[in-house]
Amino acid sequence: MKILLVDDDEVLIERLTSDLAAQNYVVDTTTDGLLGWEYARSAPYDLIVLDIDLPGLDGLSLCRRLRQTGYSGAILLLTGRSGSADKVDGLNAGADDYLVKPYTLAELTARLRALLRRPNAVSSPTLRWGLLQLDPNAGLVTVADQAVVLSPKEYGLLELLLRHPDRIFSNTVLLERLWSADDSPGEETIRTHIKRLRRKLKQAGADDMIENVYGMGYRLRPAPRSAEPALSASVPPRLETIGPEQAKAEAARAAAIAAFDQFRPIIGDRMAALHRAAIALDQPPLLEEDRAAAQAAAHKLAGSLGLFGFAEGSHLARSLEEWLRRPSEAEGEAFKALVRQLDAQLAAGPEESSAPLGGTTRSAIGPPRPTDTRYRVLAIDDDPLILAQLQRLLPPWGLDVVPLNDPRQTWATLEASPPDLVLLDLDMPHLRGVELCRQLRQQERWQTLPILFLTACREATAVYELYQAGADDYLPKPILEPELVNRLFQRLERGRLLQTLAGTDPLTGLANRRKGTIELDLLLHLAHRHRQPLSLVLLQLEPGFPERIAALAAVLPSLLRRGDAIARWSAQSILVGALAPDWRSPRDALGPTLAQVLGNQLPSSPDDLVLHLGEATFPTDGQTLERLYQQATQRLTAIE
Amino acid sequence: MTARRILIIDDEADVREIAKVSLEITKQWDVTTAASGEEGVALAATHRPDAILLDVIMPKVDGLATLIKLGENAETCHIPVILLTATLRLATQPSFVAAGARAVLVKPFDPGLLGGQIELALGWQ
Repeated sequence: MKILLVDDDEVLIERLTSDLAAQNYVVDTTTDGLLGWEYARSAPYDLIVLDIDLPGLDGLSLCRRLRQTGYSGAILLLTGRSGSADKVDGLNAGADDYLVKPYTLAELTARLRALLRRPNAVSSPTLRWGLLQLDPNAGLVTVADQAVVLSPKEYGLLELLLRHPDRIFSNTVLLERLWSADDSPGEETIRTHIKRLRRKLKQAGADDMIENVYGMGYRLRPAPRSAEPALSASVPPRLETIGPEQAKAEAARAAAIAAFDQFRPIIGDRMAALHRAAIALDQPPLLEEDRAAAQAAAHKLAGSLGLFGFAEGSHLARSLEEWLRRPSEAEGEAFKALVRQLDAQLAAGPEESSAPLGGTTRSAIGPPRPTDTRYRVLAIDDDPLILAQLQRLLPPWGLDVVPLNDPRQTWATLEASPPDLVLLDLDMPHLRGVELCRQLRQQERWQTLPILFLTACREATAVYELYQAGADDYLPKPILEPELVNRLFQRLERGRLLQTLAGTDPLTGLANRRKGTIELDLLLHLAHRHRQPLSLVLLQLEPGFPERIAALAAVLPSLLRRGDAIARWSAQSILVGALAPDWRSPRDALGPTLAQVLGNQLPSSPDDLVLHLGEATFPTDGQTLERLYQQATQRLTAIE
Repeated sequence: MTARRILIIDDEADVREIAKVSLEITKQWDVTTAASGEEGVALAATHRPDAILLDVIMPKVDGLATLIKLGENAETCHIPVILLTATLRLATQPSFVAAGARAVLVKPFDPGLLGGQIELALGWQ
């Protein structure tokens, strides 16, 4: 379960965060109302705790705004005022509960738990699957009354799947749901956690509980019907319920995954073409011949990787193909980062097939079920039938439709509910789709918003005009559901990828951890290639008060050179990578200025604020980022 | 009922093979494959399949050229053709519609569902 705390009382935030983390909740925190709004928009939370008196945007307004924009999770308001009028205001604003200061931590966490349980309140709060039980109050998992020891992430995965037995969770959604904004690992990490969880459950006797849904993600299998152990596997207990069609479909998928090894050489050749382009970007020029070969390779990978269960791989390849269509050297790093991601996915192997010949009782793709990440699609069409069709087709896929039949209302609608994607009709009265698209593209804010056209017209000149106006794609009418959904997700996922690559930490404006990892990785590549030292410096502040982290972040760039990497690594730490630094010791070079900045923040009482610094240098201390980081962590010592 | 006969024309060996395996497992259809447009046109005339899956981008004789050749031959002009493409906008160009393509399938397809999608597109259900 993921919680957002918005409160300007840092002491409270710190205590509550550690308390909730100990209970296996994932917690994001911020002290500012506007930042809280940004957090809430960027990831799904099960519960948001809001203080009423907040800088930036007050809690009541934030609460109202969250509800107006469709946030459906729980909201708990905290306040120092106890008047009943205030309570009414709070509940009117859409809060689910209300707690008056002073309160004890125990009281607060009890309320939080009650709110989180609410959707399941009818049944017992203990979650069950066959002989497995998960007790959220105790944070305890048992199989046939034997305790199973899980890591917090494994526990979180299991709880999420148990609470939403019918939903499919993609890697992206799991990342959003179970990792905090400061700590977003790669998708391999999720696979690893799932594998470990499966292994532990299997050892405990709850085998075969989590299903891989081909190309889509993970889902809980239906529980065994009786209380018999799930292990009586010599005769598969659910065999009679498997439809022959589904069994064959699963078999075909399993056969495709099994065939992957046979085609590794072909896939390897295609990857080699991408690597050649990546190398040429470092040592220009990128010859037209190489560019074209790489584009063709990316195209083939996009069309084939998904066959073997690498759905994400197909998306990545499609992004690479797009990039190669119009390569820009300025974005060369993004290209190389994508190629490396693709390498990593292929190295990790296809999603293990959880269904050897006919394992599931449901078909893998349809019928669609609601997913947790919901996207908002603004559909602009003067034909009410098309709008009605979209409103029927898309919501089950997690795509909420904002219908609009008058294009002149576009601007007002965009402001009121900013969409993730726009579907535009070509021919409308008052304002032609192409003209509207052009106008949108002229505004910086909407330049990267995916825009797709729906059109019955397939004339080459009309299509050319669409792309000229800045459209990303077009779909022919009549609408075919699989095609439509497929194309929409391609666009939405690509947008998300680019956003991640451009990831910025909202508090400090520095790169976030994910982007920081990419940048540091790049620096390490350069260090390898040019045989130069790379200095990795970890700065850790205790306690990690946000405004002091922000103060450090503000001064760091002036102490470093352009091209050095600086990333917000965690709530309390910043990680710096400096290539061939001119310092002999980062402690001497950075320490005094940073200490002074922190001192200035607190002229009256230096209190117990401590800045720690740890350093490691490539190649002497290690060859990989992980190793260097470990070394830096071990060497953390306080700056006087 | 005798098994349906399908011809797959695609220059990419992996796509060809997975499509073949998928249709054989899920529908028990009789699947033949061709690695180029020329080979495909020749096989279509001798094998007379019930349907053809045709890749759009191929070297030398590409999907459109192949489609036109199939349409010019009296032996093959009646066979329904489904385009296979990773780029939808290529296959939805008017020339393909004019040349008689019956449907478009986007790559990568789900090996578990390919057969059903073909049945749906050609009204075989």
